[in-house]
Order: sequence, then structure tokens, then C-alpha cells
Amino acid sequence: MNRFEVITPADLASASQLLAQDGHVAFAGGVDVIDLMKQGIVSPTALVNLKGLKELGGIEVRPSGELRLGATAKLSEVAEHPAIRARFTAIAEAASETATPQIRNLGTVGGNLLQRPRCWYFRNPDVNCLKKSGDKCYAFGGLNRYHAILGGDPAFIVHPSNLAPALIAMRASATIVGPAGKRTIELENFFTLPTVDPKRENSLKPGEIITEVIVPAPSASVSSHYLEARERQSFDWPLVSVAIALDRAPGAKTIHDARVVMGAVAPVPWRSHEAEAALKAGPLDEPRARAAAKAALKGAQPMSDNAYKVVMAKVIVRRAIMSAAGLEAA
Amino acid sequence: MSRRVTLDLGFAGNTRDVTVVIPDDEPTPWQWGERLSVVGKPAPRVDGPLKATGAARYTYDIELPGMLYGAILRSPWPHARIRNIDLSAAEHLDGVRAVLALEDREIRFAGQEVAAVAAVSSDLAADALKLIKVDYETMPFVVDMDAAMADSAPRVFGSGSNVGRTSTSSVGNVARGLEVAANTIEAAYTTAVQTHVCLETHGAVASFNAAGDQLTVWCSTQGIFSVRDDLAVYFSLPPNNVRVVCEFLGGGFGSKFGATPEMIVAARLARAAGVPVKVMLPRGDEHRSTGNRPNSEQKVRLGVDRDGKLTAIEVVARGSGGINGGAGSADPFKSVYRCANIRTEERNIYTNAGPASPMRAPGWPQGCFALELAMDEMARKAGIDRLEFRRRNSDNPVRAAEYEIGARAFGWAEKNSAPKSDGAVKRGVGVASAEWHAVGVSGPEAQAIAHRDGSVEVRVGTQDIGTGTRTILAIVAAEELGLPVDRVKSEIGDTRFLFSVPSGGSLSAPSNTPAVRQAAAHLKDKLFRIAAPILSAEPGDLEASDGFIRVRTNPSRSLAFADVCKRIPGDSISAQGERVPNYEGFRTDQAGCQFAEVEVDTETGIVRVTHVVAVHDAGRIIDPLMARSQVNGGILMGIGFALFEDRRMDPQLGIMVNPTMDDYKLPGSLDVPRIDVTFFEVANGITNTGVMGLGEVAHVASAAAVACAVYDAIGAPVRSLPMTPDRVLAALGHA
Amino acid sequence: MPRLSARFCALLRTKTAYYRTPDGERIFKPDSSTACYTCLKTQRPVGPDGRPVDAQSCGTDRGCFEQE
Ligand SMILES: Cc1cc2nc3c(=O)[nH]c(=O)nc-3n(C[C@H](O)[C@H](O)[C@H](O)COP(=O)(O)OP(=O)(O)OC[C@H]3O[C@@H](n4cnc5c(N)ncnc54)[C@H](O)[C@@H]3O)c2cc1C
Ligand code: SF4
Repeated sequence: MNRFEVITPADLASASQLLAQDGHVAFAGGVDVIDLMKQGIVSPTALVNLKGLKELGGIEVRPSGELRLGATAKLSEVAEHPAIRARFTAIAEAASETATPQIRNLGTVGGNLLQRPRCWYFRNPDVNCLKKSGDKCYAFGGLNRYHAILGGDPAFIVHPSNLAPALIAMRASATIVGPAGKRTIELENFFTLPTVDPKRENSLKPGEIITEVIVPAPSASVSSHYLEARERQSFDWPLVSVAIALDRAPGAKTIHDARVVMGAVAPVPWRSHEAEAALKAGPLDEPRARAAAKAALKGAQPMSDNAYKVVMAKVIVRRAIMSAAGLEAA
Repeated sequence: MSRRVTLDLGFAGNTRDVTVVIPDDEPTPWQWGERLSVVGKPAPRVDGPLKATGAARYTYDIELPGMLYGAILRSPWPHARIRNIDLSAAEHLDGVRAVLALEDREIRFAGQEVAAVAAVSSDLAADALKLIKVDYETMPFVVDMDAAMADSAPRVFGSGSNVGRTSTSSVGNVARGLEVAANTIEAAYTTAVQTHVCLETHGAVASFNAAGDQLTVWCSTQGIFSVRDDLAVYFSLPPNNVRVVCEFLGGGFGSKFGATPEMIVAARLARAAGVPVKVMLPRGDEHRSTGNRPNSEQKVRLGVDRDGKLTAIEVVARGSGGINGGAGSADPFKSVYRCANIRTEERNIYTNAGPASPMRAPGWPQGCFALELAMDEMARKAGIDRLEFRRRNSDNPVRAAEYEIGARAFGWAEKNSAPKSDGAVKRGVGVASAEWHAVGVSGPEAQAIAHRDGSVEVRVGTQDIGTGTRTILAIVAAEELGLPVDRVKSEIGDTRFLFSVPSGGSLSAPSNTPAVRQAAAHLKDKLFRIAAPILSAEPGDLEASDGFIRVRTNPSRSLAFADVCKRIPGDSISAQGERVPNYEGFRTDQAGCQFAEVEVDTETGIVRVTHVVAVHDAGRIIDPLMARSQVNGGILMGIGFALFEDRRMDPQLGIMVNPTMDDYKLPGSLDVPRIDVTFFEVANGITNTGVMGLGEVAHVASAAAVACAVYDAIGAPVRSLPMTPDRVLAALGHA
Repeated sequence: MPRLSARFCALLRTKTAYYRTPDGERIFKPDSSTACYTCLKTQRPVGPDGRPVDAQSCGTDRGCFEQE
């Protein structure tokens, strides 16, 4: 690891100023950034500690029913929060399925959204791939069992965050403070494909800090669910995950609104409008859930080792829809 | 002088008299039904609190005054010639005290040692590595076993073939056996390279005296004396000028026998710098370069007659130990099941990958997996119950008894005939047989010491690979001396103690406990001689039990053990014991069987192991708690082998892509099933304790049992390990 | 009778050779298909001459052979 200093800024403005400088990198829980430093993937000269900034802390359900997650709120706090579990179920589930208790006690909401991909070529200091300064994605033509099946070209990583699909399914937006002031962006539009820039996974600019994530109050008829499949039950990352939010008026058979967002299948959290349309096309039952799952994977382009993810993702999407709808799986 | 003794040996319902000749000063081997006071009773690990509180000193924890930190530069290339190594920039970095070139010619796997430095901090050492300029001429390489066999494949060793030695064995006539068979099957099975993943990585702290003729090394090793002897040869020192210490060891599994590269590096750096140097490997290097269990491809043919008896067993196997040999896997085919016609053929293929090293029952987990799954495929085709099929083809009475115990504990009859659920998640059960030969060897010597304060110490130059060696040695000495276990302290892990053998091949307990028992018996004789005049008896009329030394025929005439010790003329008296060669005994083999239950999600291909029942014999069990933990560990490593672990090599880059704890997947706490262990006691009389090792026998059948259970659950065999979701789905025809 | 293990180079290492017979000889099992070998000089399964190391090749006729 290179030598670096740790700076604890007095306030948000100075944090942002510091982060606009070369070699300055933010850290919250430090789970990912320290790992990347140990692996020699990032070598900051200074780490800027975000944990003390009051604007970034806390979890709150406002009187309007809107949920505010401070960027430094811990994954364990999100997982255990009773109101989140009740009203924003997919978000609590996504947090509680993440990693291990120790990591959930350190990892934060902002850090989870901004963590770098787990690709074993990207994480290997001896390999210079397209996501670093190289010119090639080694997953394509290499070992790609955990890589993208959708939207991968030209850098076939998958987005690692559990929270992102759940937050997008619940229509969350991020509040970002930077040298140019404050902006709000729907999380759905925050993540960027490798066609935009293979070295990045999102549109955060130098000096910008995520201060909070706002989830609008869901109507009383919304139900949501997060589901993932992983090889090992301990520590492991999802092979595929999905967050579903369904809005179905009491007594109605048909969904009038739905969001289907998959994780670990594409370089960004992958919202499937096709699946959502399929879900709204008629009364919700098992065949419809199955059709929606099929629609979600319609454009999938698996590589040499990961065709199984297509099969698995269809199953996980179907099962998540059925549970979100409170229907028994057949 | 020796004496003949007739021993009652065997197991419940099957004992016989065996006459053996034993040295006069050797305690009579424990027999069937021997009433023992502390042996066989569960006793917690004596050094458990030290481990739990972090007070136990592992090599990692050794810090010496003035010590430097060493680091090793490794080749990023799988095959290259080194044109030049420029160490000068590293040598000039402030805080760097020694720099060495380690390899100046040819690199054959990514991860091979190239150079090393010692510096005042590990960060500086890492910085210095970056300053070493190596001019590599990269060469064509091959990491895939199949690709390596092609005529046009790059050669791992110059002009030599990548196809290494072939080992063959044959009894009877397999072609004939297949011809006469009522049913045959033929299938190919594969297993992946598994790395040892010792939680404590390889490493050493080395220190030379000022004159440079005395070397002390603290290291993470399975064999302190092996390391001592290797270092003595390497550095041309008399063995007595080398001292090796390993108080605690965080796993070895076969990869830590003699002097491994990082120990030599630490010592060379220490000599060059004139101060102690510590080298501990980072996790990635541990995965890449310290050894592994080779992969395998095994083409199996079986034949059975109308009675369900095997008429032919054939395996044609190949495997790659990377740049090493030793990738055979056929041993289980030769001996687990009875058959008149058996043929095996094993070939080692060289690839540009990290070298194989011995790993927990070399060859067996691979072979058992292929053999046992083939047995299930055969049983299904022939329409025989799988357990019955095994019973019919095994003639080992110990295993026959173990099958019954296991089947009862597991509920085989009900579970095996339970209808499969209609849902996506299907349950399945499987059974597999184990075998090993862990009788131990002669060589070790032990010292037993009684102190004036009534405490006892036993000292042996062995080491604890994690199996609870200190605990079982204390128990054996306590038994012989009639003391509670907590009155005896075991001292191990230092070549200043008397010689012992490496802890490998399941040899530790059967090699060390008899030496300790003999030493304790000799110590007891000395104490009897002190006690005899006071009790007005002959030493030969005394016995030691419950903390007293008493007259056998008149137990009320007794002295407390501690009171006898008060009459020790100096501060202590000591006695020595040796491990004599094995007696003929009852049987030298071990059977064993494991039953597994799994749940397979047939839509996602994800497998979970829910229950394992293990029945094992290991001669006399000294401490059921320690023994059970060994079996647990063997099963977990087997589950990793069955479901998760795979050293994945990228064919374009020739590197291991998953040398981390994240991507190289070991089972975690949530992947651990319910495990029930039953020990089947056999009095074998091979040594005075009759102990056999457990480390390997507890592991060989685990992955096989899981694979058989998966086959039962989904009705299709998954013939490749690890059984990852893609493979399970493929077996189900879903992908 | 010459010691059996004298056939093998003094620097040849394999797991079993760290144990001795009751007569004090290092144990080699040349027929084993699972034995892994290393050369103490290189600590790798490759000899100082760049050729593979094993019980078959590390005999008296190899250039780097050393008598036990
Ligand atoms: C074994 C293991 C298993 C895991 N499994 C999962 C899993 O299944 N699912 C999953 O989602 N995650 C998983 N993780 C990842 C873990 O959840 C993340 O590493 C963690 O949440 C990161 O949070 P942090 O606060 O520690 O981030 P840090 O490491 O502090 O920061 C991560 C990145 O975000 C930047 N950053 C952090 N906060 C801000 C902010 N407010 N504004 C701007 N930039 C910021 C940092 O500069 C850095 O680049 C796993 C991790 C491990 C080690
Ligand atoms: S390679 Fe040469 S020096 Fe090394 S063990 Fe073999 S014969 Fe001996």
C-alpha cells in the first residue's frame, strides 16, 4: 500500500474542496476503499473521512412518509430499521442480505452504492484491463462465470451493490453536493454503462459527495421484495439479484405499476421496462410472473461461462415477483 | 529384553487373541474392554483458552529486537526467461538491509519467486520490491491440462514432454470382467484444483547468531525436525546448530513439511542482513505458490454380475500437479471395494501452474468421488439399493458394522425411500466409504518429568497441526500416572525437545502417544521406587490411580502422588520413552463411512448440504472432543471440494484469477450442515495406545457422499466438482 | 547391503522421506502416483539443471546428484 494521510474535514464544503484535488479519495466505512488500496488498484495520497459530517448521517422517515438515508448510515441500521422493513421492504432485505454482520456494521449506504466492481481481472494488480488503463476486457474470452449477461460491452463487469437495485425499484434519488453546488439525481440515471466510460460506473464528478438518498413515500398499495441467489450462504456476493416493487390497488387483480431491477447481471443495476410492461399487461398470476421474468432476460447475451445466470435470473425474478405479490409459488 | 503378551483385540462382537512380542520396558498395549480413567473421556482442548484469547503465539506473532521484514518478488508471467535482474535501486532505498536474487534463469509458473528484500518495515519492503527491475523474455505457456497434452503445446520443461509418468496397476482381467458383467457403466469424472488455504499462511522468522553458525527459526510447519534437517543441509550446519520452533500452527494440510522457499529466504536474508528477518506470505502468494491438490479427469468403467457383485473396476485417470507430479487418484479404486478384476492407469500432465504438494489424503478425495458416484450410477442401472450394493462389495467387517451404525443414525431407510417433493427444492441422500492406514511410525521419543510440586510435564518435539496434540499427550500421560489431566502439561514445538516425526499422513497421534505412554510408565517406575520403602512394599506391587500411589493388594496403603514428589531428591526426576516399531496387532487399515443429505434447488442449481453423519474407527479414541473436531474439519473441507473450491487459471494470461478469500470460495459458517459423528472403537494393539490417526480418513469420503446425495436429489449425476450451479443446471438439462 | 535410500539424491525431498524405517532409512515410494517431489537446492520440483525432480530422475546418473 502507498503512503497516504487521513484528513477529517470540518464541514461538507471543505470535504468537497478536498475531494476536488488530485489523489484525494473519500472514505466512509472504508471496507472497499482500503481493500482497493491494499490490492494496489487505487493509490490515494489522502483519504478524506466522511464519517463525521453531520449532513451525511442518520436515517429518518419523514412525516410525509418519505425515507431519508444519510450517506453514512450503516447497512446494519438500514437492515434493522422497523419502518424500512415495513414500508420499504426490498431496501431492508437488500441490506440484510449483504456480506456479513461485521461488514454491515462498517459499510455505509453511500459506500455501498459507490463500491467498485468485483471482477477478478479488475481486482488483480498484475492485470491491466479496460477498466484501468488497458485496452481489453479479459472477461470476454476469459473466465467470466460471474460477469455480465446484459449490457456488458465493452467492459463486462457487473455492478456489485445490493442496495442499488432495491433503491431504484423504490424510485430513490441521491442528493449530491459538489464544487458546483447541490444536485439531485434519480439513482436510476446515476449509474453509467461502460459505453459511456469503461473506467467508471457512475456519473459522480470530482469533488462530489453523496450526502443522502431520498426514497419517496410509497403509496399504501406498494409491496416490494429483494431476492438474490448465491453460491455460498456465507460472505458471498449474489450471482443474480432482483428488487421488485409492485403497486396493486386493494382487491385489484392487475398491477398498475411495477419496477423490476436486477443486480449482478449488468455493469449497472438493470431496470427492465420489458418485464414491467409484461407485468402490467393483465391479472398477476404465475404465468404472468414467468412471462415477465422471461421478458427481463430477453436481450441477455451470455458469454462462455455464464449462460447459467440467464436461467437463474429468470427464476429469481419470477420468485421475487410472486413473493412481492404475496402469491404462493407454484 | 522382551516379553510375549497375549492381547484381546478387535471390536464389539469380534475380538480375538493376538500374541505379540514387546520390549520389557514397554507398557502392555491397551486391549479390548480395557478400563481407562481419563482416556476416552471428553476433555476440552488444553490450549483452547490461549487460542481463544489470542495469547497463543503463532509465527505471525513472533517479534524479535531489531527484526526486519522480508518480502518476496514473484513472477507475474507463467513462463519466461530472466534476462537480467537489476537490484540496485532496491538496494539503495533507505531502510532496505538486504536484497537477493532468487531465480536467475527460467520461470515456469506465475507466482514463482524471483527476488527478495528485507527492510525495516513491511511497507518499505513492499516499496523496495517495486524498485527491482526484472527483464523477462516471456515464453509460450500452457495452463490447461487438455491443451498441455497437444503435440503443439508449449513445453513446461524445455524439450521434455508435458505428459509425465504413467503409473499402471492390474489384477485379474478387466476386459473379461466387463464381458461377463450383467450391467456395465462408463463415465468420466473431473475434479478441480483445490488449494490448502492454511489460515496461517506459510512463513518464518529466522535469526543467526553473530558468528553465523547457529540458526534459530520460528516457522509455521508440520515438521520442526524436518525443517531443522533441511536447513542444516542447505546452510551446511550441523543439525544441532539449528533450532526450529513452532509453538502454534495455523493449518498445514500437507503443504508445510520441510524447508519451504520462504523459510530459506528468511534465513538467507537474515544471514545477509545480520539481524533476524520475518517473512510471512500474503494470501495471494499462499494460493498461487505453496501447493495444491491436483485436478483430475477419471474415466471409469464398472461391471456387476446378477448378484450385484463387481466384476470389473477400471479407471484411466490424468491430472496436473502444475510444474509438479503426483496427480494420481486411483488408489481408492484398488482397495475400497472387492473385485477380482481391477485396472488403473494414472498420468501426470505438466502445466505452467503452481506446484502440487501433499494435501490431506493425496489422491483420495478425487478418486473416492469418481468411484462412489460411479458406484451409485451402477447401482441405479442394476436396480440395487446403494447401501446394499456397497455392503455386497466390501469385505471389511469394521465397515460393515459402521454402515449399520451410520444408516441407523442417519435414518437411511426412511430418507432413501422418501418420495421427492414436487417443489423446486429436492432432497437427496448419499453414502460413501472411507479408508485409510494410519498406524504411525517409530522414531519419536518423549520425556516425562515429575516436579517436586507434584506437577508433571511431558516434552516431545512434535507440533500441533491443530488436532489438539497437547491435549491428547497430556491425557495419555495422565492415564499412565493415575492423575487428572490438568496435572500434566505438554510441551511441544521445539527441536530442543526429543525427536518426533512430522504431523502428516495422519501419523501424529499414533506415533507420539505410545512414546509418551512409555515415558510416563518409566517415570512411574521411578516414583514407585521412591514410594516403595515408605509403603513397605516392592516397587512392582504398586499402582498409580486417582492421584495416589498405592499397594495393589492393599489399596488403603497409599501415598498421594504429590507427597511422593516431595521426596524427589532434586527439583525433578525425568524419564524417557521411545516409540517402538508397530506390532502385528488386529488390523492396520481403517474403514469409515459418511452419509450426506442435501437440498438442491433444481431451478437455480444451488446445492446446500443439510446433514452429515460420519462413522469412523481410529483405534482407541483418546479424546472424543478433539477427534470430533477433526472429523468436522475433514467434512467441511470435503464440502468445499464438493461445492465451491476451484483454483481457476486464466488461459490467456496464465494466472490464477481467484487467489483471494473472496473469489476462492471456502465454506462459511452458514454452509456448515448438522454433523453427527460416531466413533467405532477398535482395540488394534499395534502400539501400546492403539491410537490411529483421523485427519485423512475423515476427509476422503465427504465430497463423494455429497455428490451421491446430489445425484439422488436430481436424478442426474453431476460428474464434475465443484458442483457449481451452472453444472447442476447443465446436469438437469437447463443450461 | 547398500542403503536403499542411497539411490536417491541427498537433496531429494518428498513427504515420506521425512519419515524413516525402523532401520533409519529415509522412506521413498518411487511407484506412488501421488508423491510430490522437490529439490532442496531449489525448494521446487525443478532441479538446478531445469529438469523435473522425482524419484525416477534424481539418481546417481544426474549431473547435480549428491550422495546422501
Ligand atoms: C466479503 C465481502 C462481501 C460483500 N458482499 C456484498 C454483497 O453481497 N453485496 C453488496 O452490495 N456489497 C457487498 N460487499 C461490499 C460492501 O457492502 C461494501 O464494500 C461496503 O458497503 C462499502 O461501504 P463503505 O462505507 O465501507 O465504503 P468505502 O470503502 O468507505 O467507500 C467506497 C467508495 O465510495 C466512495 N464514497 C463512500 N462514501 C461516499 C460518499 N458519501 N460520497 C462520495 N463518495 C463516497 C469512496 O471514495 C470509495 O470509492 C461485500 C464486501 C466484502 C468484503
Ligand atoms: S534435481 Fe539434482 S540436486 Fe536436486 S534432488 Fe534431483 S538430483 Fe539432487
